[in-house]
Amino acid sequence: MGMGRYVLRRLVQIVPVLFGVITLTFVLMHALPGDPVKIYLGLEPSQELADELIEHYGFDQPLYVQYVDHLTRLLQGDLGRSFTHRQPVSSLMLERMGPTVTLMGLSYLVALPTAIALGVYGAARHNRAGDHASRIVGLAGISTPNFWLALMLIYVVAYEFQLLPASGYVSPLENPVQSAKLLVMPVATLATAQMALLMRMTRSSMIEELRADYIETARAYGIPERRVLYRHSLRNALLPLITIVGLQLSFLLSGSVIVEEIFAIPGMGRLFFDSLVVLDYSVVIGITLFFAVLFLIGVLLTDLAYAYIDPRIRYD
Amino acid sequence: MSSEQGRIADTSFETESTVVVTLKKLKYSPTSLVGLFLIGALVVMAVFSTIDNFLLDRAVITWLHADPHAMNQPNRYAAPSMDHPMGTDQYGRDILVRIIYGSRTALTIGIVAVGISFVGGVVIGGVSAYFGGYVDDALMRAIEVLYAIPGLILAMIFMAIFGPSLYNLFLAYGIVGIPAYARVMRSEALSIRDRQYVEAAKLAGLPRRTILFREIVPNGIAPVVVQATLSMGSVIIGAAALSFLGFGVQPPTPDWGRMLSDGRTALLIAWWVAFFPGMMIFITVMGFNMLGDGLRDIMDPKTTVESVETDDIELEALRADEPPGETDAFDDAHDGSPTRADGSGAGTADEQGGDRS
Repeated sequence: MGMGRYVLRRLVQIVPVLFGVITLTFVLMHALPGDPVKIYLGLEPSQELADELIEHYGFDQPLYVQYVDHLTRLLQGDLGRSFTHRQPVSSLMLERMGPTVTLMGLSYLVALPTAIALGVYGAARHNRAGDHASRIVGLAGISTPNFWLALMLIYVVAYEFQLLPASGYVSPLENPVQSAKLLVMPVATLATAQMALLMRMTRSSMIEELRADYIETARAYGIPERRVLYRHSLRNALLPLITIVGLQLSFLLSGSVIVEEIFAIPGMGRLFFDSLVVLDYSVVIGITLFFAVLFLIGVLLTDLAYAYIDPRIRYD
Repeated sequence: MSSEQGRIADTSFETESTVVVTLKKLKYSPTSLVGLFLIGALVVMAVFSTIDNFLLDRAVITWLHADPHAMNQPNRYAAPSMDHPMGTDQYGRDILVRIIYGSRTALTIGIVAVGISFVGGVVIGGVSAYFGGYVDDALMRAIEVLYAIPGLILAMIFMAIFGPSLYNLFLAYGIVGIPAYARVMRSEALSIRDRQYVEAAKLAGLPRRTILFREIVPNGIAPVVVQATLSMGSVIIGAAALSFLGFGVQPPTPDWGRMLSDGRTALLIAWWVAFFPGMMIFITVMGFNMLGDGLRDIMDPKTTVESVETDDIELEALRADEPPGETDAFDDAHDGSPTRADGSGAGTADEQGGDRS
């Protein structure tokens, strides 16, 4: 199967999932408690205003009509309006996207190289002290609750030693130094578990690869071990990692809610949390939908990258 | 005639249970043994606090140390000391005894939520693989929909809809976990579907339900068990995260996530309120991960890698071709069990203790 056909097939496969996600979020939206009219107009809305609002948003329509409306509006890129912020959800999300993207991008940037280096180290010293140590570090990394890690970092780094500011956010474009200072702890929190997971994957994948016949052949030819590690086995061992990198998006998006909440970062995770607390459900659903789409795109891209590098994947 | 054959097909393969074989190999894995020990300690704590709470009205714990519900306002935020090894919280309650009582909540959430995901995942994954075609397509797309929404996000919305309570927490994480189990079960079942004993069972005229749940599922369950052990940790962390954010367990139930959230407000004046519950979550999750890690290493390491759309055809072909008897040779070659040949087994536990502090 050619790459073009594979791309097409994966795209077609995503459509029902996307449709399912939209439907599920629609159901969730209607299941959320709270009266949007009251959230918008206060607890004692005048009847006229309430009626006007209900009519405007079509709340009086049967559910299937609302569903069709919802789909039509989504197709036009309209995610509805926030009742608390009094502005379209899409523009609200756009404002808050920067911090989250920065946070997640940096997290990948920190986690990936560290994880690969540690994973290769562990595999190269398989079953020796260094490997056991890296393994324990990896297990500890995935076992550490990020909210606890965040609090302890704040206490030790920001309060006890006063090395960094405790919380807040400044855009890197405005004030790069202050921004970097503020981002160290959130990124460390987010990247720890991510790094640990990637490291474990790299390690086990490398160990498997180092057992392959072609590695034996390379060694028999007298190729230096370093070269065998980095030029021969690592390239193949990194393939399965591509998939994990895509899947981790989901994990990071969950983490962004916690990290942004604790470090007072005005990103989408925090927006989600704040909106859910006050039941501003169009924002809640807008962000959920956006996260799901982001995840699907991430997985699609990593799958395509995998299929591009390893053509065997295209035939299944 | 057919019923007799059915009975033969039913009984003659029961000894081949991979679960039993795996459990026997556990003793070669120091990591899993440490994990098992940590979990054992947790279970003891949880059972003790359950009996003490419901049958003895907290008499034993009060006699031993302190009443987890007793408030003592003048003694609020007392630093760790001989009287209160882990200090006291904002109501002057002893943190140590509350942590012991909290083990019950953590373990219950873990077991019930994982149980829901396990059963749901096994049924969906098994049915999906065995029936194939449209059933498979429909179920897998549904699973992907569930998987596309980040776990914590889905769980938070669920809790907002149904209200924060322990039971809803079970359900929320139970549902969130189903996709992972369904995928593992499905890929296992796919490789087992065409084995000879399944063919034999079909020829013997066994009903499809029996073939699926008596032949296929038991033979493919081992990797799902590993998945369960490994996800136990993430469920406990996830539930604690929900409680931390205020969407989970409500007071006065002692819960580690909730205690952490209390500790957050007093972080700068009383670090211990947040430190110890978090430490406890860490140790518990570490225990489950160590056990799961060891279990996975004992078996094929690739089976629990969350495989996405791209089901590894090669791997599946390999597994399908592999007669049950040969798995031992494979395991011996693999990295998990070789601790047998490795004297430094006990060192792993020491290193872990050192690394943590």
